[in-house]
This record gives sequence, structure tokens and C-alpha cells, in this order.
Amino acid sequence: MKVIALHQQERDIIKEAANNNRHAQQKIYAQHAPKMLGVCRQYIKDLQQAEDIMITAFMKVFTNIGRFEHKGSFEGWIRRIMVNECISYLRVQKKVGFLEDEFYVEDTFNNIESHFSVDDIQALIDSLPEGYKMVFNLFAIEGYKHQEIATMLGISEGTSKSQLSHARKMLKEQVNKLKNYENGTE
Amino acid sequence: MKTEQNKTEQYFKSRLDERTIQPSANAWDRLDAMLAVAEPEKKKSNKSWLYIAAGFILFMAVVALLMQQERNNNTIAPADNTVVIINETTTENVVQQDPVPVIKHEDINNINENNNTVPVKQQRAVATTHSPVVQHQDLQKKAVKQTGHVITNQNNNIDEAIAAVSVSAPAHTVNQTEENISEKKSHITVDAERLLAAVENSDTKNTEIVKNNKIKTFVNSDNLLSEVEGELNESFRSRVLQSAVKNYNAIKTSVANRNYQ
Repeated sequence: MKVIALHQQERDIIKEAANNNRHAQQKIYAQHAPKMLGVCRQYIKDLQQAEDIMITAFMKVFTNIGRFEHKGSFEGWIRRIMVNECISYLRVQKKVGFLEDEFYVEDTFNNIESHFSVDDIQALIDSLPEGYKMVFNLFAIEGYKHQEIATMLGISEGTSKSQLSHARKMLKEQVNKLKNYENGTE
Repeated sequence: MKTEQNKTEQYFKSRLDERTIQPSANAWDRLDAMLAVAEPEKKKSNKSWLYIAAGFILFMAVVALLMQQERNNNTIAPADNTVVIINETTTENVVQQDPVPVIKHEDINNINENNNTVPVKQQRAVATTHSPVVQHQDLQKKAVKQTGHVITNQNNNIDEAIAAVSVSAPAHTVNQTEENISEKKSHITVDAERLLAAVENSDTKNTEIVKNNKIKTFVNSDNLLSEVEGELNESFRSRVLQSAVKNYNAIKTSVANRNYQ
């Protein structure tokens, strides 16, 4: 009963925001902005730049909010817009280069390091080249399939798989380095 | 197996999903400003049509006013044209009529052989008719000055011719004052046949010149009036155009300011 009421409340706010009600728009922004800035930060190293892209993406959210059909979660819809905005930004800036390499190995990346903080994880992801980072984020964090990633980035499915394989390999090396550093063996 | 393989990735995902980064304090203000800029564009687009329509109507009104002014000018314009044409024809006539005394000059030379005193006066008259026609350039001034000279010369010629006519052939009728006729009668003693021939040639042309001179005096006043009217119309037109341009600029700036706001 409570869930239905919350859902109805969200619908009303979305409707008001679609009618350019600034109060409703601000409510949506306040609710989702912190999480969406985290999403943008996954792709863009500079926090200020990530914030700029988040604002631009929210602008798109509010101008297209009337098109939201309430078929999926509203947060998922916003998140998708954020990810697309980050990808288009990186592609415009030509910061992403994909090596058309279809060689990949199904590598395992099973070193569970529960003591790693979010900042450590972000630092590990930031250490990857832009192409690897983007495919890793889209596949491992956002949950897209290789076919979808290939369509989004305009690359082949094999390239997407190889990029992920390389990313995993590099992350594994970085994690081992970090572990050795913490244990004092290096 | 797959889930087991990607345990680290799942761990990364869960930690990153939990993460929240608080945006800066002015982030919403920036977004608000962007939304405010994006919103009025749609509303103002409707109003801008009104301004465009108003501007167009104003422009059409000004054009209609100017067209009406030009129509009024066109009604006056033919008078100007006729004036100019008349002046040209009169000057041409005067130039063409100048040889007339030259013909007389030959006659006068013949008369000189007969030891008459009249040809000397006629030569002077011919010389005076030639010099102003060549020297003056302005058509209007030409018309005025030439008419003066021509009239005097013509008067001389007419006087002499009439004197001859009065001696030998009283049937010719020329518009002349009785005083001049009486004066000339007392001076002239000329071969009647030669002078009659000279008068017959000069008589018709002199009457044309007199008519043209009459027209010239009439035309000059119209010319002056039309000039004055033309100047007034031009000044009025320039004033209307200036006011229209000012209004257009004012509308343009107001629209631009509104769009900017």
C-alpha cells in the first residue's frame, strides 16, 4: 500500500515537472543528483567536469521528461541519460580510442577485496585507459550486454569483449600490486 | 560459475551504486538558469510573431504613403517635362533662327553697295544675337537671357522690316507699337523689293520667336513652382523615411532586448 502511494507520488511529481513546475523539478534533482554525480564520476575523472555533464544531462531529463512512459524505473531512465551523456562527451572530446582487437581470453577476476573503499575502486577504474574503462563500466557496473555496448560505442562485439578482457587483466594486476603494497612485500 | 567469476565486479558494482557525491551548492542554480533560458524561448516565439506582424504592417503603411507621394509627384512631373522640352526647343529655335540675320547680312552687303546706312545697324544686331547664345550654358538662364537678347534683336529686325513694309508693302500686319513705326518711318529709305523679300523670310520666323518667348515667360514660372514643389516633396519624403527608420530601429531594439531578457 505504501509502495503504491510512493509510486503515485513519483508519477505526480514527474507530471508537474513535465509542466515546467520548477518546484517539482528541484525535488527530482535533489533526490537523484548525488547518485547521478557518482555515475558521471565513474566515467569522468575530473569531478567538476562530471558535475557539468550531470547538469547538462539533467537539462535533457527535464526537457524530455514528458516522454517517460513509466514502463521502467524513473531512476534507471535518468541513469541511462547520464551514461549516454558521458559517452557522447568522451567521444566528442576524442578521449576514447578502441583498438580493433578481437582477441580475448575469458579471464576470471575473482580477487574479492572487501576492505577496498569506494575511492580505491574508483582509483583502480581511473587507472584504466579510457576505452577499457568505458567498456568495463558499461559491462560490469551498468550491466549492458556486449551487443548493446557495441551498438552504443559503434564498435564490434568482439572488440567490446577484448576491451573487457584487457580491462580485467589490468585491474587484476593493479589489485595484486595494491595487495603487495599493503602487505609490505613490494 | 559466471557469478562466481565476477564476484569482484559485483562487489565493485555494489560499492559504486551505494556511492553518492553531493553536487556543489550552485549546481541547481546553474540548472535553474538553463531551464529558465530554455522555457521563455517557446513562449516568446509566439509573441515575436506579433512584433514581426506589427513591423510588417508599419512597413507596408510607410510604403503605401511613399507610393501615394510618388503618384502626386508624377502628376506634377509632366509639367516639368514640358517645361524642359519647351526651353530646349526655344533655344534650338533661337539658334536655328540666328542665321536669319546672316541671310539679311548678305542682303545688307548688297545694300551697302548701294551706300545705305541701315545695314550697319543690322550687323550689330546680328553680332549681339550670336554672342549670348554661345556663351551661356545653363538652359534656364539661356532661355531667360536669350529671350531678352532675341527680343531686342527681333525688335530691331521687326522695326526695320516693318518700316520697309510700311514703305513698300502695307498689307503685312506685325504686332508692333505705333511709336516705333513712326520713328522708323522717319529714318529709313531703302530699296523696297529687297527689304520686302527680307521681311517675308524673317516675318514668319520672328512671329514664332515671339510666340516662343511668350511661352518661355509662362513656362519659367511653372518651372520655378515645380522646382519648389519638388524640393518640398523631397524634404517631406526624407523626413518620412527618417521617422520610419527610427521606428523600425526602436522596434528592433525592443525585440532584441526582450529576447535577451
